[in-house]
Amino acid sequence: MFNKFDYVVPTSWADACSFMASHPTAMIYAGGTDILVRCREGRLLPSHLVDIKGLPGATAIAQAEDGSIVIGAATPLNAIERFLKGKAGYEALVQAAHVVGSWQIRNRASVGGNICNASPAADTAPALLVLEATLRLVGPSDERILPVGEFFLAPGKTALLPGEILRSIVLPAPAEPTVSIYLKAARTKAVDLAQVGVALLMLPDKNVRVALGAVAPVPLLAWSGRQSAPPANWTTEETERLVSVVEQMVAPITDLRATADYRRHMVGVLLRRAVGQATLLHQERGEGR
Amino acid sequence: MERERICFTLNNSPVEIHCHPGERLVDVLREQLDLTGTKEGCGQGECGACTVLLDGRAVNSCLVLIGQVAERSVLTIEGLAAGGKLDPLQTAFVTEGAVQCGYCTPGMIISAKALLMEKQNPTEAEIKEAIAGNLCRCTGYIKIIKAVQTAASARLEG
Amino acid sequence: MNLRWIGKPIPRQDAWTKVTGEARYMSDLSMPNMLWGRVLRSPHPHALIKSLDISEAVACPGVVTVLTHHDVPGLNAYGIVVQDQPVLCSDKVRFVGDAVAVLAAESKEAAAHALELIKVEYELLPGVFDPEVAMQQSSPAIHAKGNVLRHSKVHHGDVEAAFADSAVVVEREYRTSRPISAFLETEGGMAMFGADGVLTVYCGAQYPDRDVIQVARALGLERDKVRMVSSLVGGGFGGKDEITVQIYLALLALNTKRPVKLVLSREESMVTGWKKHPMIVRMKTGASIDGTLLAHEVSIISDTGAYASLGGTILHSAMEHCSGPYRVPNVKVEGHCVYTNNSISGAMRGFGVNQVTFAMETQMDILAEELGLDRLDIRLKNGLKDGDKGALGSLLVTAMGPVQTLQAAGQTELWSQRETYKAEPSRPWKKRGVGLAAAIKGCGLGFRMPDFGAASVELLPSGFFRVRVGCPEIGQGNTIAFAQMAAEVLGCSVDQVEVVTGDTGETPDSGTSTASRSIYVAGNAIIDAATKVVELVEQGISARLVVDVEEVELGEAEVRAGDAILSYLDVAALLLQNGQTCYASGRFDAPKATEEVPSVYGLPHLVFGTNAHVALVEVDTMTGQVEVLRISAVSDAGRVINLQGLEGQSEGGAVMGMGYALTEDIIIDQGMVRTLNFNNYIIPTAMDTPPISTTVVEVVEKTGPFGAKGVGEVVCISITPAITNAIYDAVKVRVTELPATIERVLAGLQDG
Repeated sequence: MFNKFDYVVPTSWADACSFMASHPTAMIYAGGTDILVRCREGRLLPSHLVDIKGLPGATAIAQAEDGSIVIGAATPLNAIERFLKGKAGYEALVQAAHVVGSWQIRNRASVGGNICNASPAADTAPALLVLEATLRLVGPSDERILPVGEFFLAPGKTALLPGEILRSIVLPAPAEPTVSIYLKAARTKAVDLAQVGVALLMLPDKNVRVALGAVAPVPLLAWSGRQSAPPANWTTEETERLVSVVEQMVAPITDLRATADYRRHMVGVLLRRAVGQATLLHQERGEGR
Repeated sequence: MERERICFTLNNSPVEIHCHPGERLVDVLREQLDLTGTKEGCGQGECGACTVLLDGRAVNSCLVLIGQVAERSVLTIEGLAAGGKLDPLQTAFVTEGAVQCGYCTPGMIISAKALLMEKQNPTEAEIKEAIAGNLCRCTGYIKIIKAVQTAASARLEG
Repeated sequence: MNLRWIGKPIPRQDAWTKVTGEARYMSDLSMPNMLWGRVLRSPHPHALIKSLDISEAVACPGVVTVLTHHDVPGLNAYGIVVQDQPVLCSDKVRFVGDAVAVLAAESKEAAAHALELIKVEYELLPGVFDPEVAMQQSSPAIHAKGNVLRHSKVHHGDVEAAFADSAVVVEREYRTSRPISAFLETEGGMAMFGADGVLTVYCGAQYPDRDVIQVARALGLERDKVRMVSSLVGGGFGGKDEITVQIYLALLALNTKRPVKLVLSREESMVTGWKKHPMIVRMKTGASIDGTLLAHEVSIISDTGAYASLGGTILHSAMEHCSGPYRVPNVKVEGHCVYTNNSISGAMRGFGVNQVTFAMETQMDILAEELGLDRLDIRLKNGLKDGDKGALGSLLVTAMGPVQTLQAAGQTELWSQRETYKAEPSRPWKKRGVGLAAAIKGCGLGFRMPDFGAASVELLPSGFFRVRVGCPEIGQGNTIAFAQMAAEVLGCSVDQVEVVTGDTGETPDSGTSTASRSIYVAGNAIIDAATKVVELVEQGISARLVVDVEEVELGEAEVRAGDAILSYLDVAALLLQNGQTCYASGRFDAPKATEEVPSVYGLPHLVFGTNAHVALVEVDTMTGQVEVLRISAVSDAGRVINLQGLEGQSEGGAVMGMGYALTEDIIIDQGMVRTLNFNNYIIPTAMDTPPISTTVVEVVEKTGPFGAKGVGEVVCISITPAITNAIYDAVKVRVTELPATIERVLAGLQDG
């Protein structure tokens, strides 16, 4: 159906980078759940698919000594969910990984693919934004670390330079007791892209971060700052202030999944619900202490 | 586009094929290996009719390139009845009336198999979630869910 | 009647090969030396073809043949009723997806590549996408005969006077969506030209004998030179009743003399497949103070898209069912079926009845509310009974189930305990509601169309009985029901019977597997054939073993002849080796009404199945999301042949009707289909499916086999208004446009 490309298996990250650098029409292939769909639809016409799944660390997920978590870019979403489930603070990423596609899709779809497509609706992107993930990008000659907030440039466009590949994602250890939530609006309970995605992270020190999906050209960190009350004493006024600030940030479009008006409406609805869930979680954990 | 030799384990036996590594697993199964139990319903991972197990995990074979299957293990519906003895899921799908047109059935059973390999006694919600990526247009899913429950208890008792 | 097999939940025989993957669907077949076919389709909704150049495609390596309208040897048109759809367009295209050329190549890749090399020059014409605009004289004509395919009117009683007498009159406009069958197996198959000069087309379809007529007519062949093999089918639901790809397969095989395979992609299927007719239904309904329906005025405008297919017949079916399962003495109904450049509409489970029943059942709830009556009571008061007149004034003389079915619905726990179910929503911002609706649906083809069943039964040398019926197994499970009915008459066990369907080379023409008819007509034909075979076997044994015929008795595993006990294998040997015929054919002609409804061709139906649904929903008042939490179905199928099969139909029908209520819609924008795959055409998944219970009410139909009626369509109809009525019950948002999407429900909440 679409095998007009060559399938390439590099032997090292350096090999993969130099191949990408010398073949501008090549694309990285990991889970294939998105790229193959778009190839089949003729929306992408890569000359080569470069399979990074077998490269060292590509599908590894582990906790480093400093408590941060390193996720290989090609790690399937189900593996991420299994690893992070029950780890306080990472709820948003667990929840986001869980609502991508079907079980079969999540067995293949990688977190790196989810963000490298730079779809405004990528579920894991808002979660990574509030978790302040950093990205390890490897290039033909050197490598760099980029905050995920600087990664998305435009729909389908990332900060990756020619020949550069996302190798891994690092999640810093959250201060205890951090709580995060990801909520998604979709047309159906299972297997749909987000109409709106809202990630919320509440730190113990009154700091709050909110990130949004599918309401702007890129996944958006809509708010990061201190509130006047700690999570456990959060008031309705506090929530409404946050909602009105966040609502200022959105610029949604109308497509088959939702109208712009509905998206705008849902940002507030989901954010209020996320605050409700997060404060409840905070209280539960506080009492459990 | 060069053809390559690709070796993998298919339904518990080694196979060796020659093809372009960029071909889809579903096409290789159906067209080269004549294993037409694996169906194609949408071509983009939405319907689950092409579900197979890859190293024990359910995947959409329309979204797997055969190059990625090298040295790995694939199980299709044809390989489920080990030694000619039907899997409890297969028997339960028949006796519970979970099969109508049957086009979704192989993928559905494979997804259920993956679930039961991970969880011996899944809840109804877990069953529904495990097969949410397998569309069925005939049954309304009720008897499919019942069949998975029946197979799970048969395995627990057996 | 003491029945051994009828009504039992016997697992279907064909399930065994389906769970192992051995079952071969027509789109699974392949042959050595096989070619791959593709269809070139119009990218424009309405355009003239100025030129067509296939030379580059022909020269493309791997391409074996490229065919255009010049290469259609017979009639370049098809259509079940009127043949207005070109096999390959010659001068004009009328929808996005209209076929312009077909080709066959050595590989899928070569075929795909060659498709891009065919050059077609189009001159764009203004498109017509709104059926009400299409009806206007000034609109561009899609067909030379104009844009109105069918315009029909029926009026009986005195509607004006009855409205004047009504205590309340409810007038609303309803708009329905454009769902598609979305069978999991897309349209496809294989064709080959045999050494015997017979062209065999293997293609999943619902009426192989009619496909032979259409294929032979297009190819200019004698019918006996074409064979259609249609079973197994990976889902039909009406969408494989009309021609899909049979003629393309046949053309390519005839021209190349090689086997050719052609399977539509899901996207092609979504664009070119048969959809349910979107209808604009305007209803004005009057009732007395006690809720008795007095007057009903209905206007239906149906969008059939670019070609006729069954559009006129579906309009008439909608008109016939426009008062739902209710008695109204004064009715005026007018229908228009209109061509547009919106894809193509055709048969889909329910055949026009879903649309009008959604409207009527909403009317009933509004009437109940305005009159302060209970929603069940007003329905029971007006439920159709034997001896009543239907919406078009024809006398209903067969077993009518609405009252019994509604009574049973009222007794379901979900309805009787509805306040308890509604009491505790899962979140403070959610609200619950319970809705009720009922439907009838005619079984069979109505007054004019030949409506017969045919079958043969024979004793095989193996001692098994073979039943042959033309109506294909499209997933609904008619083959197990056929086996049960044959075994019931023969006396043997069901395992002793094998059923062959859907092969014009093997099976007698028994009509189409549509219209909820195959059990009814073919079942009766099987009873006829099996009865004759019992006589042949009894007489044969009586003659051979010299015992009285009365002393011969066919049993489950063996046959008793006086004192002797014979296995069926022995019986086969005894009779067949001595040249005794143990074969009989059976026939059944469906009874017809005594007179046709004036001015609407082909009506009325005689036999009706009934269904009722109760649905519990929970509506998120902040998002508009509707979740169906529980469904109770009540099914009147006459005598149930296979309980498991009936439940399967009931559950599947409820979920399909739930999709129609909430999410399913092929969205067409200026002729362009935008919902190309299951990512945007959203059918329910297991996670969306609530528990469904089915209660059986057997209003036995005396003309049916063992008292059975058809059930395949009626199971999917009343669920849709049961859900939309439940939404109203929950949040007072009246759904008048399908589907009740999240955003429409939210808009209703915000308006309220």
